[in-house]
Amino acid sequence: MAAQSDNDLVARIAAGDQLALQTLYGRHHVKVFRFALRLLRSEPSAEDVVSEVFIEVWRNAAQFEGRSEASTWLLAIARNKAISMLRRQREDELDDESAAAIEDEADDPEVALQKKNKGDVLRACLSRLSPQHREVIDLVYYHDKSIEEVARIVGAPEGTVKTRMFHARKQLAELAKAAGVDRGWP
Amino acid sequence: MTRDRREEADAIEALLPWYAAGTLDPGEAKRVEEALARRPDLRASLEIAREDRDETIALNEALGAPGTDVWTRVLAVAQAEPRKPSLKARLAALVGLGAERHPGRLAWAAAAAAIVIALQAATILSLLPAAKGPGYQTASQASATPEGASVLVSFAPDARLDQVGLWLQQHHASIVEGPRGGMYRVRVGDKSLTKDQVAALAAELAATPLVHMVLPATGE
Repeated sequence: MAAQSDNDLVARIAAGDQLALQTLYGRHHVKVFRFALRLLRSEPSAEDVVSEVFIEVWRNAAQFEGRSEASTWLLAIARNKAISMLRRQREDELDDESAAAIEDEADDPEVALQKKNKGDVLRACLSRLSPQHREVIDLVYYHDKSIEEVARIVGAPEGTVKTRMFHARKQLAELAKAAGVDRGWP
Repeated sequence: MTRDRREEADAIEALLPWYAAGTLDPGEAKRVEEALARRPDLRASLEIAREDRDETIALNEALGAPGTDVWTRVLAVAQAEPRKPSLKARLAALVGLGAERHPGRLAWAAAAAAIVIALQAATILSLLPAAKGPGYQTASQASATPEGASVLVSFAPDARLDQVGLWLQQHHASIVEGPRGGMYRVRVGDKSLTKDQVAALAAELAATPLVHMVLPATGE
């Protein structure tokens, strides 16, 4: 039997089907978690985002209009939750404990270079992109979102998305070059 | 390079990340491929984009997963807040239809439903000889398809899904389509029926508070 599409699952959730919610959760919770974690840099906060996303899906599945993939809808909800959380954190003025939690665990690019591994350097640089650039890079390269879908998730015009991606790549190239990996672009 | 060619080159460059990810639409992908065939510098840039993509995937895959207690939290809320969806949503899920998810169709359905409600005062029998129109029609001829007979049913808004399921079972009926205009096409038999038989059946089916109204349907 063919697996039900995500959109069919959302229709079942709208009808109160908890099993459908569990199936949708099983399919997407890891990617939603990683997307939130890259934005928030805190595992407990990213887990909070995951639970809030799927609770919102449970409560508002009937409002999903099916004009995009369900995964795009989930990431858009996750982004909104994460941004709200970041705003609250800023307003609360981070205490030492939470400040420590958002320290990046990746190697410093220079440290990575000492390991003489280009992949390590690039991953270290990817972790040091601005949040906006990190987000667009992840959506395009890891979440496989089209231009239209990224625009829907971040709430920006498609032209802005293309420009943002170009600058993200440029920032990544500059960080890599500063760390000793010059790939000759841009 | 002329300004136009420079702009075209920039536009292609901007599409490369999506080309590398395989998420461009076919038209844009073709445009990129044609440019790649002409420009070696673009091929080098594509390789960099592919390298960036590989490392982005590696970075994300190393991030782990949320703890199992996260699902427990979600489930606790779902169980504490059982949904009370509309019958429409439940029936749409039951028959695997997503028509209600499109705003345009929703608006059409709402308008059609309003018309149906306005017509409710008329008797079912008086609707039988109504004129044909687009979409669902009341029919002046036997409302049976070659495969069997069907009628259009509008359920009461407060009807429960289990009640509707039992009602269908009792009448050896099944939902085959809908909702459109708030009505479901319900198959009620394997054989063709005459107009009188359909009228009698419609009256019988409508004799329950679960059902708002029943109309004969033309085959579609």
